[in-house]
Amino acid sequence: MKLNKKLTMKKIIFLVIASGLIFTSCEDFLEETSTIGLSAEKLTDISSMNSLNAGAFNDLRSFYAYQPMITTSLVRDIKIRRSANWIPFYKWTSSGIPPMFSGNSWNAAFRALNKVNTVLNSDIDNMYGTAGERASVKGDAFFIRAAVYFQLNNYFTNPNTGISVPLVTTVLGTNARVPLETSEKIRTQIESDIEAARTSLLVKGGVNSYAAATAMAARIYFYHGKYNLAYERANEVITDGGYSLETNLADIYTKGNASSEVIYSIITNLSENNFGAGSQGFEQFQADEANGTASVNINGLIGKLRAADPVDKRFTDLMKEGDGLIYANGKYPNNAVDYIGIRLAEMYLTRAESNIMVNNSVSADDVSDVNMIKNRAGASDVVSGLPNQVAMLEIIFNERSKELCFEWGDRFLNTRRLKKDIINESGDGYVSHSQYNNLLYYLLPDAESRIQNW
Amino acid sequence: MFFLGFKSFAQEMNGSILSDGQPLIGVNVINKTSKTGSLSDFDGNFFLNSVKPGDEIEFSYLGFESQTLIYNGETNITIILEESEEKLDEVIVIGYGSQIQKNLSSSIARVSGEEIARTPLASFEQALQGRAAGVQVTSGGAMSGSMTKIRIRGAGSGTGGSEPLYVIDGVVLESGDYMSSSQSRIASIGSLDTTQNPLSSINPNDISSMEVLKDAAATAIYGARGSNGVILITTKSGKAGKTKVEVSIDTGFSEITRKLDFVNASEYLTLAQEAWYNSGEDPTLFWSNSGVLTNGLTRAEALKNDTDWQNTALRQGISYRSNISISGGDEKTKFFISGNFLDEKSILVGNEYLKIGARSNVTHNLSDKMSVGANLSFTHIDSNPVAVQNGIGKANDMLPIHPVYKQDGTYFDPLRSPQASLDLWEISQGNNTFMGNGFFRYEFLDGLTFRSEYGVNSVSTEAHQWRDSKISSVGESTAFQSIGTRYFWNFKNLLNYRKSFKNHNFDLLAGIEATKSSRSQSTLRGQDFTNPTLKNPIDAARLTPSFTESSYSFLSMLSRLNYDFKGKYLFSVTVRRDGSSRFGKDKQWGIFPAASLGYNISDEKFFEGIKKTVNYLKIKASYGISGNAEIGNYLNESRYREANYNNLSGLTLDNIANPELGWETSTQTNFGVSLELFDGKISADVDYYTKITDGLLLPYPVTGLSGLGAVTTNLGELSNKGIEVSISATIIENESLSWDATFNFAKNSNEVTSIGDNPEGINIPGFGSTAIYAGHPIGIQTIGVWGGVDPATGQDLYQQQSTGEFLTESQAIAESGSVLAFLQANVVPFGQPYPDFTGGFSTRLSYKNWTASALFSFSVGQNYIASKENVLTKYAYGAYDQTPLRSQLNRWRNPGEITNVAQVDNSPIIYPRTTEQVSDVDFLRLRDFNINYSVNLPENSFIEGLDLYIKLTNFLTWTNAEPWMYDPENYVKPGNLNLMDKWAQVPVSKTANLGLNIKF
Repeated sequence: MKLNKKLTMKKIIFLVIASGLIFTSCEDFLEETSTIGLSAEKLTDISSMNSLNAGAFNDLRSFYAYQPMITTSLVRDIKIRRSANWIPFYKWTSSGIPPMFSGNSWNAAFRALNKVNTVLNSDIDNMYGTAGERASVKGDAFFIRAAVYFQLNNYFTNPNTGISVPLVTTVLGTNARVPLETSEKIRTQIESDIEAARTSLLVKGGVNSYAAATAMAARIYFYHGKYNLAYERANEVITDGGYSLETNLADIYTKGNASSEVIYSIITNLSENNFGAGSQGFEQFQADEANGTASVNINGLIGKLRAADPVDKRFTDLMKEGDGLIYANGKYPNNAVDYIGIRLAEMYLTRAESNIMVNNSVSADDVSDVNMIKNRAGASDVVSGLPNQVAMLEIIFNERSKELCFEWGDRFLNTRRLKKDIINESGDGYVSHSQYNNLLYYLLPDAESRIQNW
Repeated sequence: MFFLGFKSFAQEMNGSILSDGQPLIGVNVINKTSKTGSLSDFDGNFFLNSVKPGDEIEFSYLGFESQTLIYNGETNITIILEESEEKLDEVIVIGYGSQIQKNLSSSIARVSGEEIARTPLASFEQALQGRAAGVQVTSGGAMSGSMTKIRIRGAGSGTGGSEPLYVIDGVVLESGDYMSSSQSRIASIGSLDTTQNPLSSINPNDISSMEVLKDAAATAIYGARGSNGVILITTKSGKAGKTKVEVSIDTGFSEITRKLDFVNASEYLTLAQEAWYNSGEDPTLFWSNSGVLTNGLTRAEALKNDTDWQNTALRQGISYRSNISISGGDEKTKFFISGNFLDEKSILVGNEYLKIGARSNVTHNLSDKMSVGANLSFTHIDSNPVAVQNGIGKANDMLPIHPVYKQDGTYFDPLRSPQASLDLWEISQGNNTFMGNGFFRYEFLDGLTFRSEYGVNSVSTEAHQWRDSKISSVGESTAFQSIGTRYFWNFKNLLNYRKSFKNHNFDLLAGIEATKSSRSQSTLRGQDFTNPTLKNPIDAARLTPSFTESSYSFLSMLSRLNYDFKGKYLFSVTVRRDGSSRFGKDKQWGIFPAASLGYNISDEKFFEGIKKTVNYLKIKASYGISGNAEIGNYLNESRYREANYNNLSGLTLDNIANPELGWETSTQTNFGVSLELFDGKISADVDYYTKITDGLLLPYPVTGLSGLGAVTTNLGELSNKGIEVSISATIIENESLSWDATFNFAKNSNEVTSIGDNPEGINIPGFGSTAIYAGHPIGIQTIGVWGGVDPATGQDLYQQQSTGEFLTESQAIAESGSVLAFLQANVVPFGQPYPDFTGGFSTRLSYKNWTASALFSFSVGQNYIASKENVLTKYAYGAYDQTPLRSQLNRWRNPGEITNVAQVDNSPIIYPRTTEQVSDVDFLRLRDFNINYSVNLPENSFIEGLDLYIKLTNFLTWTNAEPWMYDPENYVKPGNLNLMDKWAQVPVSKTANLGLNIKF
C-alpha cells in the first residue's frame, strides 16, 4: 500500500513536470503584442488615411504653438517682463534665435509630413470609397504639406545662401539621407501642392475647405511675389468664399473657427492636446502681471501705432491697460482659443496690395479694401481720395501690422518682405534689415545636421 | 564459519543527529573507509550498514561544522553538530540553489541580515553602500521612499535598464517606477522627483541575507536578465525550538546635510544694481525699470525684506518606526512572521510617508520526502511626495528682497513662490504590494529532488494630485487621479541531483521557468473646477482620460553543474536559454553559457608547511555571457498611436519596428583570489574582471525626416574593467572585548569602445547635450570649455576647438555671431559620470555590554555638471530675478582683477553648460555610526534581551563638492545617459535615531 502511494505520488510529480514542460515550451507564450494603437500594415483604407491627416492636424497645433510669441518678439512688438524661460527676445536680433525654439516647429513639421506623405504615397485611387472621399483625403494632405513647407521655407531659409530645408515628399525610413534644397525649389513644391489641394478640395472639402486652400494660395503667392496670382486667389475667396468680417472685433477670437471671418484655423481641444497656440498665447499675453509674461512694448511699432490712434478698436477692445502695462490679451481671451491661420481681413489687405503691385498704381478698389478694415476697427485715419503708390503701400503696411499683430507671424514676415527696419528697444533708432536679416532665421537643428551631414 | 564470523564483524551503525536540541534532517553520513553513505531522516535518525569498527565516519551538513569519528561498535550514537561560524563554511545563496563559500568559484558578495537590521534605511538596497565591493549605490535624496540607483561593476548598458535584477525568495521584484513612464508624463510628475521606489516595500528587518551576484558564472543562470548583476534577497525563516519574539521601536530626527549659500538681500541689491549699470542702463532707473519690484512690491518694502527661501521648503524631519517579529516551530513546521510600521516626515516640507507591512514565512514537512512552504508579504504605503523641483528647487526663483506673503496676506508671486507651490500642490500616492511564493519539494531518491515554485508580485497604485489655480499660469486648477496595477508571476520547476561518490561531488540542476508581467494604468485629468474645495478630477469641467497597458513574457530553460573533487578542485558550468516577447522576431531566443574553475590550494599537502600563516587560499576564474533584456516592451513592433484632432480619430507614428532588436550581451571574465591568514583572523578577497557589453542598446538618433527622433538599436560596445578588494580582520577577540574591521575597495573604469559606424560620437537629440563618444564613459555630455575670466575685460573666456585658443565673449560673438552659437560649435565630450573608485570601511568594537560600530563610505573621481542653482546664478539679473549664489560676490570689477567670476550684467541666459559649471564630487562620509548597550537583565526575567541604541546616518562628510551643491551624493536620473546634469538638485538629510530592541 505504502509502495503504491509512493508510486502514485511520483506519477503526480512527473505529471506536474511534464505538464510544466508542455506549458512552458509553447512558443505562443512569447507572443505579446500591444493592445493599444494600430500596426503599420493596417493603414490601407480611406478612414485610416483620414486618421493620418487628423494626426497631422494635431501636429500642427504644436507646429504653430510658439509662432505668435516668437514672431511678435522678433519685431519687438512686445516686451518680456520676466521669465527665465522666455529669454528677452529682442536680444535675438543681435544673438540669433536659440535652437530650442526652432526645434519644436521642425519636429512637428516632419511628424506631420510623415503622415501626409504616407497618405499621398498610398494607393488612394484603389481604396474603397466614393470619388469625393478620395478627393477630400488628398486635398487635406496636399494642403498640410503646402502649409508646413510654407512655414519651414519662411523661417529656415538661410538668407545668405538661399538654402532651405530638405524636400520630403515620400515616406522615409530611419536611414534616409536627404540633401537640403534651395528655397526656390521648395517654393515650386509649395505652389504645386496648394494648387493640387485646391483641385481636390473643389471636388469635396475635407477638414479644410476649398476656400481655405485658395486663401492659403493667396498668402503663398503674396509672399512669393506672384502678385497677379495672389490677387486672383484673394479675390476668389472674398467674392465666392462666403465669409464676412465680424462686426465686433473680439468675436473673431472668442469664436475662433466658428467665426464668419475665419477661413483656416487649427482647432484647440484641450482634452486632446493642451499644447498649442491658444494655451501659449493665453499664458504669455494674459492681463495678469504675475501670470503673464508679455505686454506691449510702447517703443515698438505697435506701441507707436496705438499712441497715434488710441480710439482704434484694435487697441481699445483687444488691449488692456493695467499695472502700468499694456496687455495684448484680446486675441487670446482664454487658453482654449483656436489658432487663427487665415481670416478674411488678411485677404482684403492682400488683394489691395497685390492689385497695386500688379498695376503699379492705386485704384479706388484698393482704398475701399483697406477702408473696409479701418472702418470695422473704427479707426480715425480712414483713407480718403487716392494716395500715391508709396504712401498707399505704407498705409497698407501699417494696416497689416495693426490688424494681424500677435497672430500667425505676418508682422515679422511682412517687415522682412518689405525690408523694413525694426525699431530699437529704446524707441530711438532702428535695427536695419541688413543687420537683422542674417540673424533672424531658424538654424537647422544640430542633431539633424549631424545625421544628414548638412 | 569464517564467512559468518566475518559477517558478524560488519554491523549496522545507528543514532541521531541533533543541533541546538533539534533533529537535523538530511545530514550526509559517509563511511570514508568503505565509501558508502546515507542521510539522516526526518527525525534526525540515521542508519549505516556494514560498518566495521575502526571505520572513519563523517557527518557533514551544509552550514555546520563537519564531524568525523572512528566507529567503535557503539550503537544509538548521538551526534551534535554545531552551526559553522567559519566564513568558509557559510552557506551562500546562489541563483536557484546554494553553495558553501569554500566551494564557490564565482564572484558573489554577501551582506548578512544582522548588518542591516535596525538601520533606518529608506529601502533595503541602500544597505549595500560601502558594504559590498563593486556595488555603487546612489540614493534619491531626502524624499521618503525615493529611488535608489545601483550599479554593479559599472554601468553596462546604453538605454536598457541598468538596475540589477532583484530576486526575493525566488520571485523577481520589479524595480523602477510604480507608474508607467507615459502615465507619469501625462500627470506631469515624472520630472518632479516624486517617483516612488517599489523596493521600499520590502522590510529590511525581514532580510536574512543579501547576495550580490557579480560575475557571469554567477549571473548566467539568470540569462538575458543577469548582466547588470543580480541581488538575491532571502527572507528570514523560523527555527525549531522555543518561539522567539523580537520588538524594536525607534525615533529618528533628520536635517539637511548642507544648505546652499545664496546671497542675502543687501548683497543681492549690490550685485543687481551693478549688473544694471554694467549693462549700460541708467542707475537711477534701477528700481523703476529693472523688474525687481513686481507684484506691487514697493522699494521701501523691498529694502526691509531678507527672506531665506530655502527655509520655506525645509524643516527638521522626524520618523517613528517599529518592528516586531515572531519565529519558531518544531521539526515539522517552521514559521517566521513579522510586522513593521514607519511614519516619517522628511526634511522637505509637505513630504509625509506611512508604511505598514507584514510577512509570514512558513514551511512544513508533509513527510520525510515531501515539504511545502509559502512566503507571503503585504505592504501598504501611503506617501505624500513633494515636487522637489517646485519646492526647494524654486528657492532661487525668488529674491531675498521678496516677502513670502504680501501685506494683504496673499502669496507674493505665487507662480514662482516655493511656499505657494508647497501649500497649493497636493500629491499623494498609495501603493499596495503583495508578494508571495509557494513551493512544493519532493525527494525521489537520495539526493534527487524536485521543486516546483510559483511566485507572484502584485502591485496596485493609486495616485492623486491637485494643483490650485493660484499656481497655474492659466489660472486653472488641475487634478489627476491614476489607478494602476502590475501583476507579475513566475512558475518554475527544478530538478536537482546532489551526489557524492568517492571524492567526486556533483550538484546538478535542470529547470524550466516561465515569467509574465503585465501592467496597466489609467489616469483621469480634470481641469477647471468651480470651487477650490473640489479636488477630484471627476468634478472638473474638462476631463481627459488616458490608459496604457503592456506586458512581456520570458520563457527559460536552465541547467547548472557544480562539481568538486575532494572540495579541492572546483568546477561549475551553467547554461540558460531565454526567449522573450521583447525581442525582435528574428532574434527571439538567446543562449547564455558560463563556466568557472576554482582551486583550493591550501587543501594540498604541499601547503601544510605554511598553513600556520596562510590557513586558506583559493584561486578562481570564470568566463561567461549574460544578457540585459530591459529594453522596454513592444519596441519590436511598428505602431501608430492615437493623436486625435477635433474629435476626429487621428494617428501618429510611434515606433518603427526593428526585427533584429535583441538583448545586450555582456561577456565577463573574472579572476579571483580568496585567502585567510592566521587561522582566519584576517581574510581577503580580490577579484579582477573585465565585462564587455556589446549590442549596446542606444536611442540611436535617426533622421527626424522619418517622423521619429530616435529608435532603439543594438549598436556599440561598452567595457567595464575593474578590481575589487575586500579585507576583514578580527583584531581582538576575547570574553569581554572584541574588535573587528572590514575594508572594501572597488575600482572600475567604464569606456564606450565602439559606436558602430559613427566615427566620432552620437549626440542624442533633445534638451541637453547627451552624448555617447567612443573612448569616453557612457553618460557624458558635450559641453564648451571655459577658460576662466579675462582680467582685462572681465568677460568669460571660451575655447575655440579648431585653434585651441581662448576667446573672450566679444571675440566669440565676432567669430560665430553669438556666444550661444560659438558654444554650440565648440563643444567637446566631457565628464566622468562614475567614480574611479568607491568603497567602505567598517569597524565594530564590543566591550562587555557596549557595542560601537561605524561605517564609512567613499567615492572618488566622479564629477557633476551644473544645476539650475548654479547655471542661473550667472544670469540672475535683469529680467530673470534669480537669487545668485554668494560666489558671485567675487565678480570681476576692474581691469586687471584676477577672479573666476565674470563681470555681472543683464545678458540673456545661455543654457548650454560649460566646464565652468563642473564640480568634483569626491567624498568620504560617515554613513552609519551606532552605539548599542545591552542591559543586564535578572536571571528570571521574562525578557531575554534588552538593547538601547543610537544610530547616526550621514553625520560627517568630507567632500570637495562645490558650495553650489547640496550634497556630493546626487541621484541625478535613472538610466545611464546624461548622468551629470540635473536641473534642480534634491537635498540629502542626516539622521539620528534612538531606539530600543527587546527580545522575549
